[in-house]
Amino acid sequence: MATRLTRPNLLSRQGRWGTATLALVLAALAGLGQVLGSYDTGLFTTAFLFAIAATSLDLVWGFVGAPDLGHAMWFGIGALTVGAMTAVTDRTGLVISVHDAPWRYAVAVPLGMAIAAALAGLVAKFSFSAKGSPFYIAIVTLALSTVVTTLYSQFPRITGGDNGLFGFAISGVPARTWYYLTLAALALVVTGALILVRSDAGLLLRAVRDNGSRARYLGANVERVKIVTFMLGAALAAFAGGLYGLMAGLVSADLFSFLFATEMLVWVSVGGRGTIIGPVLGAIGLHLAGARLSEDFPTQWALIEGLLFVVVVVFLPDGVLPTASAWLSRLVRRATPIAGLVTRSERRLTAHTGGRPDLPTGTPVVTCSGVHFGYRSLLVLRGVELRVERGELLCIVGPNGAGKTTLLSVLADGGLPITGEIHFDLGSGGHGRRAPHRLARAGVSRKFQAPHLFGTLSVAETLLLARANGRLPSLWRRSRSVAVGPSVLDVVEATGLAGRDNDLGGTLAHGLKQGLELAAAVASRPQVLLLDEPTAGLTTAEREVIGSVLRRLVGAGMTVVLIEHDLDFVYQVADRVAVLHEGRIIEQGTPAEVANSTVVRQAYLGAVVP
Amino acid sequence: MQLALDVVSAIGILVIVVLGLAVVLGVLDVINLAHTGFMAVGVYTAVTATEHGWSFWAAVVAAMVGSGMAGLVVEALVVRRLYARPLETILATWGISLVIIQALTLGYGHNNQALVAPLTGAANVLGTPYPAYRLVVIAIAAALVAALALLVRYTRVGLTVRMVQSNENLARAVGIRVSLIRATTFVVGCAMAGLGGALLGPTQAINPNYAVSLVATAFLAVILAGRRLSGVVAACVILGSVQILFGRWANPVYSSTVVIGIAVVLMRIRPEGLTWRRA
Repeated sequence: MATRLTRPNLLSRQGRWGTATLALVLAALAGLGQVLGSYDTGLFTTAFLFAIAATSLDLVWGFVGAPDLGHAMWFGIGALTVGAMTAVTDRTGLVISVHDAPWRYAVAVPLGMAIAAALAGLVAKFSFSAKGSPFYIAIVTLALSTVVTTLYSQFPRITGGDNGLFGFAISGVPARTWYYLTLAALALVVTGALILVRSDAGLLLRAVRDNGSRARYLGANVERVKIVTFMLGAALAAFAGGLYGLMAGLVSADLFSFLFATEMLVWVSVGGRGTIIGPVLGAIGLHLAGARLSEDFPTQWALIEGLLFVVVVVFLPDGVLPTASAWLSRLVRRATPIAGLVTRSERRLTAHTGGRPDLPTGTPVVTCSGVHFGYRSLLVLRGVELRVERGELLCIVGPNGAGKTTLLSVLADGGLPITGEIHFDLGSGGHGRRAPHRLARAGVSRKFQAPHLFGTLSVAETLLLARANGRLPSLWRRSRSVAVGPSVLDVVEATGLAGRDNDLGGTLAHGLKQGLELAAAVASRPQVLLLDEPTAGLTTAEREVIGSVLRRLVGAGMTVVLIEHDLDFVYQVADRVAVLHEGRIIEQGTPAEVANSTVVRQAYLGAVVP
Repeated sequence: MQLALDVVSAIGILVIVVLGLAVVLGVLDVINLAHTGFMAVGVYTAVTATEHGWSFWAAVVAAMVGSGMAGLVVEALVVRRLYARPLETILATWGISLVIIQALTLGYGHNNQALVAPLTGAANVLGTPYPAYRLVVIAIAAALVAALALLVRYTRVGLTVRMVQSNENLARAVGIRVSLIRATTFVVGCAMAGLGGALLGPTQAINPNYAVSLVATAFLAVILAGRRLSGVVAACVILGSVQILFGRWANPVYSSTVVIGIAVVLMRIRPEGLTWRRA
């Protein structure tokens, strides 16, 4: 039953190479610290802090896909907290003395992180909503950074006003010590970030980025994932900002500005979004190059940086590092592209032998009464009355535009405003209408009409997430095998997905995508499976296989509601058929009864009732 | 009366700034963060033209041509490749904006330049004296809105553009050169930026960072506006009046904050914009 492993042992070699390279780079940087002059030491130290900020932005932008155009704010908050805790100002904001008690410095950094995380939480809570546009967060953060830079000068007692705060650096720490401290902090943050994005939970982040709405129907609380990641990103940026405050002892509105935020975006996109290592190299490289070149050609450097940014965005959308490593891997066949090195891993599907909960049969699982729903003035559902019994396979048929997909949508998404009642009895108690992820967790799984998948997740990874069904996967462990139930392996075998455990969702052929959709829906171990045309685009032979898989699932106690156009298929698989026409169920019964119904013929053929 | 005129004037200025941005967003789905950069190109063109003895209005036309040409280059080299990647257009156009600012700094230096208004006197509006030039700007804004509305609704050009906007593949299939329409739209948007830049020139300090402070407000207004001209006007009316009225009775520094706050909240309530495109 277990499926073939495509490229054995690759993962461990990859992982070892990655770790070895990282360790080598760190060792080289540590050695460099011994030979650099004082000016360069300072330059590198700042670059390391900026690299932490770049890493934090990559988590937010590269991994959950939220373009934070005001990421500098969080860095600024970290630095300002240190400044405000230590520098004493007069009424106009001029620094007159510095409280340099060690506890103030010790408290200021975590406090800044907490403030940034709290503010970021508010911003994220406000910005990430199910119906909002993905640009909304970009607009809000852009607007916020404009506002914050304007307001900065208005509170000189805290912020130092237009001149900012200065001279509050920790005294008596040599530059070389700072070099090693910041290098250690960077190593810590990068290692942590790599562990997170390579872990099983990292899959959740990428799923949310690739296709938030699909992740929702697999039980993921998309908003919460985004909010928490956004807060984490803000806290890490504030950590870097706090260290910058301790080291440089200055803060001004510039550290909050949109311009500085743009720099961060440049580091991340030039280095390679979604690779963690790319943004780190981008930040260090561009900061060093910028500092060198801007001494000699201040305006020209800014011009070059702008051009570089445009060129990378247009021609190397993946960033320099991933593109370069892709070229390299084409030259040297053993090498793996960096994007794969960071996030991809080999996983294998294995059979899971566990009991399935026994549920009482004979009671209705889903009950709809008087359901009305419309899109603005267009009324689609006009009083749907429907009962779905436990352990039956109900097919919903009807002409195009009858409201079939809409009916599944209002069943699966409690956020849609309906009138009437929908009730689920899922064994664990009754449920009214719920947000999609909560309903998915309670045991209602939905497959969409057009296969919606996660482009950068492999088959095994998709099924891992589906199986987790809303529970948080491990934040550090990356599992090599994904145990799925026999019915999932049935679907995998039947649809030709066997042996493709590590193929990416985005590269599968249409039929295989349909198969993976179905497998994912089954893998979440639902009690009720809502399927929208699972056989669309499949050959007759494949349909028959899917049909027998569905019969087996129903035989094992699952309830299936299926939308289907192919009546031959319906007659093969259905226990019961309901005909939806103009927003109402006009007939229901066994396939034979429905096939002979005059009402149904009239609905399909458009005859007038005599 | 003075206050009412100030409000109308602020709305007019905002309309002129936002209109080009709205054309580009509405038709191309591109948020052009380089818009203020093109305004700067326009105003510097106008400054150079007047230095060579051109009249103000001739300089305004030169500004439109100059920024339109800059827009043509940018479209062909950059924006054209990004239509399928809306988020990247935000980043790329912001990069272009940085490039424009730096290029202008290299060419003209950091110092402020000045553009002299063609009308310096005050006109009498129902008994209130008001700078004549500002009244002209208001009139131009109104004329632009009217012209654009007529163009979109009643001409073949408008029909073609609306077709590209709602279904580019189908438009292509019936023989419309989508790439030409897009390039033209972008150039028109940039030319309008140049017009706006030159027209606002006499009212502001002119340096390479010209109008950058407007980017957030304009950006918000255009997103808030949604896809229709009426939305653009509504957004400008709301944000312009809030800016002036709030600035009148409280610290003007906070007024931009309040404007942004209101825009962000409105957007949350109406994610589709103040007006929405019919499905």
